[in-house]
Amino acid sequence: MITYSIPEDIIVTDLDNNEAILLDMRNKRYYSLNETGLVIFKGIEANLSQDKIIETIMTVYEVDKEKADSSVNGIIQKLLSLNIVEKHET
Amino acid sequence: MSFYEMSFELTNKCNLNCLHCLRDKSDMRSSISTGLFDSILKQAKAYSLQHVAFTGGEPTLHPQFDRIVDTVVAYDYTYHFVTNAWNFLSVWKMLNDPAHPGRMHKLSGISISLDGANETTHDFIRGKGSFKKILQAISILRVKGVDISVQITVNKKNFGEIEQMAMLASELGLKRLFYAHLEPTTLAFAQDLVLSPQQYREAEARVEKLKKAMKIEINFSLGHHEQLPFFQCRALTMYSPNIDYKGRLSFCCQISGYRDADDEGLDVVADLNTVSLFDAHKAWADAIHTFNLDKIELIKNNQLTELDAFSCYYCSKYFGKIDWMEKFPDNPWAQDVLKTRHTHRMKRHVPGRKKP
Ligand code: SF4
Ligand code: SF4
Repeated sequence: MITYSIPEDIIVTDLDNNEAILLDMRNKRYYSLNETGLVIFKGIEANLSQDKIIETIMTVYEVDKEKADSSVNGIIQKLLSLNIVEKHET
Repeated sequence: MSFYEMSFELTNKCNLNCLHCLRDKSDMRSSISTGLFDSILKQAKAYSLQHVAFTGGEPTLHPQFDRIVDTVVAYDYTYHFVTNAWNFLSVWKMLNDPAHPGRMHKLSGISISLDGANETTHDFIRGKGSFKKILQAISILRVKGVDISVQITVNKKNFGEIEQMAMLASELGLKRLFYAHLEPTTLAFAQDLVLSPQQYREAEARVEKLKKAMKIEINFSLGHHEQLPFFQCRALTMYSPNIDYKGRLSFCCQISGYRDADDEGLDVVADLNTVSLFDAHKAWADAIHTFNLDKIELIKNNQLTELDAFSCYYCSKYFGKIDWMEKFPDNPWAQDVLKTRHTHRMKRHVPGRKKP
C-alpha cells in the first residue's frame, strides 16, 4: 500500500480553509496551496489513503472519479517533487 | 522631524509571559479607550502627524483593535504594529476584511519578536509553541507581500545565536532586523538572562560585523553604547511621543511601565484624559529640558560612569526603575546603580507631573 506523510520541517498555515501557506524550513521556501490542494494536503496529514482522498474530492467538489483521480495525482506528484510530501510503500 | 509618528501602548494585556518582559505584570489589565484614542489622533492632525505605531502588551489584544485600526485609517495615517504573533491568524483575518480595504492599504509593516535561531531557544524565552506561531505569521506576511521586521532582545540564552538569528531572518526573506539589549528586571536576573556590560559591547560589535556582511538591513535599537555623553535619541528629539494604555504621555516607550520599578510614575509626563495633547507636549518639552539640564550637570562634574554610555540604562536609573538591583550587589550593573543612585536621579519637579 502507498501512503504519504509530511516532513516535520514543513510549517503549515491554514488560512480559513480555502488557502494554505507552506514553509519548508530546510530551504526556507514558501508555497501557496489553493482550496483543492489544501483538501488533498489535509487528507495526507490525516494519513488517508490516496483512494480515500480521491473519494473526498469527489464528494466535496461533486466531480467524477476520473477528474478527482487526475487532480489528486497531479497535486501529489507536484508535492513529491518539491519534497513537501514523502511517499511510503508497504 | 518632531511628532512624525505617535506610539501607543494600546493595552497591557498579553497572552505570553516572556522571561525577559520589561512590562509590569502586576497592574490591572486595561486598554486605552477608543474615545481617547480618537481624540488624540484628531489633535495630532495639527502636527501633520504621519504614522502611528502600536505596542503593548500585545497590541492586537486591545478589545477593539479593529476599531483602533479603522480610526487610524479614517485620519489618513499609516500604521504598523509589534506582535508576538500568538493570535495572528485572527488578526490577519481582521486586517484582510474586504469590507475595510484601508486596513491593509495603510499598513506599512509588521514587527515580529524573535528570541532565538531555533525553536528550543525561542520557546524557552517566550513559551512553548511560540516559534511555530511566528513562522506561521511570517509565512502569511511574506506570501502576501507585507514588510516584516524582526525584533530580537539579546540575552544570555540567545547570545551565542546572534549570527544564526540574522541568517534565519535573511533566509526567510525578511526586510529588516533590530537587535536590542535586554533591559534588566528581577525576573531576567533570576533566570540568569542578563549579560555583563562587556557582553553588551561584544553583542554590539558582532552586530556591527553582521551589518557589513549581510544584505538584510540590520540595526541595533536604542540603548546601545553611545560615545557622545550628550547624545539625543529619538525620544529626546520628540520624534515619536509614547502614550501608554492608561492614556498618559510618558517620557519614552523604552522605560514605560517598567516591571519592578520603585517609582512607577516618575516618567509619566501628562495624563491625556485630563489635558490636551498640546499641554501634554509642553509638559514633555519641560521634562526633556529638565533631563538635559541634569545630564549637563553630570557631564560638568565628571560624574557620568562608563555604564551611563548605555543610554537607556542611564534613563532607567534616572527615572528610578532599577533601584531593586541593590539586591544583587555582586552584579556590575547593580554596583553602578548603587554608586550613582543619589546623583543620577530626577529630582526637579516638572509642571504637570507628580512630584518624585
Ligand atoms: S515581551 Fe511582549 S509578548 Fe512577551 S510577555 Fe512581554 S508584552 Fe507579552
Ligand atoms: S530610554 Fe532614554 S535613551 Fe533610551 S530611547 Fe528612551 S529617552 Fe532615549
